[in-house]
Amino acid sequence: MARRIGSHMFPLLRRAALLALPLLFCATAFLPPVLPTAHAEEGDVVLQGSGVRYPGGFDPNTVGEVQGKAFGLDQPQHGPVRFRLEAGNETYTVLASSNWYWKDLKAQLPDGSKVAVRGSKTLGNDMQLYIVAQKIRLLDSGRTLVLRNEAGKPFWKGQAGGATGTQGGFMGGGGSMGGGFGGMGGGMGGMRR
Amino acid sequence: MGRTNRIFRAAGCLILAAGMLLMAAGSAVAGWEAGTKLGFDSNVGRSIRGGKSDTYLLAYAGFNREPSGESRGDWVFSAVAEGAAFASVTDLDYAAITLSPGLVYFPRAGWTITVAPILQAKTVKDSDQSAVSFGGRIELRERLGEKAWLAEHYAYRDSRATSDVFSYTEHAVGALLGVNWTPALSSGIGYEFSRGDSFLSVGTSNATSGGTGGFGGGMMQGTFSSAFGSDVVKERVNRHAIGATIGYEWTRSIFSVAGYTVTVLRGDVGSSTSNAGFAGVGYRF
Repeated sequence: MARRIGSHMFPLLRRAALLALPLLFCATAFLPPVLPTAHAEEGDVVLQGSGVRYPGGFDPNTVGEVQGKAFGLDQPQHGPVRFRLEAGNETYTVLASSNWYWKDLKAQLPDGSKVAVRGSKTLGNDMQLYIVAQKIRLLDSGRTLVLRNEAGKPFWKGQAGGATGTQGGFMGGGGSMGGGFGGMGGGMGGMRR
Repeated sequence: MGRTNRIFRAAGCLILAAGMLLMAAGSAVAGWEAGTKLGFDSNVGRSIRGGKSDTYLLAYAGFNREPSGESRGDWVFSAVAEGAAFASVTDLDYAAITLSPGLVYFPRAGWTITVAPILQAKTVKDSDQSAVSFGGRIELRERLGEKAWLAEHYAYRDSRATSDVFSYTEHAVGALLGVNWTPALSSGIGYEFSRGDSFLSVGTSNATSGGTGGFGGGMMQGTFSSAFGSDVVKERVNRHAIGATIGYEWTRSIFSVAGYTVTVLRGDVGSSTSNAGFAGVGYRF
């Protein structure tokens, strides 16, 4: 019976799908560009006082490098590892990474260390300057701590893939190829299973 | 008949489970995504004699919870609903829902281990192919420098279709090398080997059975598939797949992706080769 129901339903479903798919295609392809593209960073927290979003408050348009001396390294259990960067007349608060990631980098940063910090600069609600760090060069040892990729995606979140999306690419996500999720992904374009 | 009912019941349970998990993940590092893909497959029936090519249009919507990265351990979850319509072999039109909750652990900076069970319910116009699947996947991913990464995985899958010839179990291992060339442009190449069951289209019985006891002696008797217009048999195969993808992020929300995969199935009755490709756009929100 189920089979008979299925055979009655499918022409209808197919017609609906054939109508829905191009509509969804057009909507996906052409509608988003006219919508606001300020993609919300889910899971971000707004840091108290500064109002800076973490870890998503990285704006590639404001990336710059600042050289100076580091003071007051703070490694809280939750929220970003941070320190003060004194560069000439300006003082920045550098927002680095999560605590476990910083520990794994085994970075030594005693007060007065010379560093060059590359990252996204922002002015906090408290009128203090902040840098959401992408890279920190320890000038005394020559070491570089890489915290984010060039787009500002935090390495401590572990997702190193590119723009494959939920339906991913080859062998993505949910199982065997063509199966399911790419990224969440499953290589929809791969072998159909 | 009973199997089809079970498949619909399983799909209902999956939707319910997805709803509950989505509510639980509501405030987490999560996002939605929708997209479409236009694709082709040179051998949709896994024929050992050339095969029939077809194109399809696929649409999907999914939900993904990523690890926050604030601690070494976290949980992840993804749910995807998808549907596809084929241009020619319309019996392959399908709708499916896939759920994959999982655990993530960061053993050291730049390394990620993910363990995730997978559940899928799929209804196909050719109801013989409708199936429920479950399995699991373990993946180790390492960052190589600032731009490249390598992932290795093992996956097991048990898919139970309405008709047994389309049911399969398989064990797969694979590796994927990815490079983020620029903040927007990325690509990857991968290889996967699997050992498991697969159906293969072998033509009609008259042409292939040779008169005695079906295909290849001890194997399962061929079953005629109206979807492929051919007899299909199920047997143990070795599958080799090599593929490449390229992705481009136009904005933080919109991306395009294209991919190409060559798959070879080797069984006792013969080999099946398939070239498949796709191009698509997606939107995260």
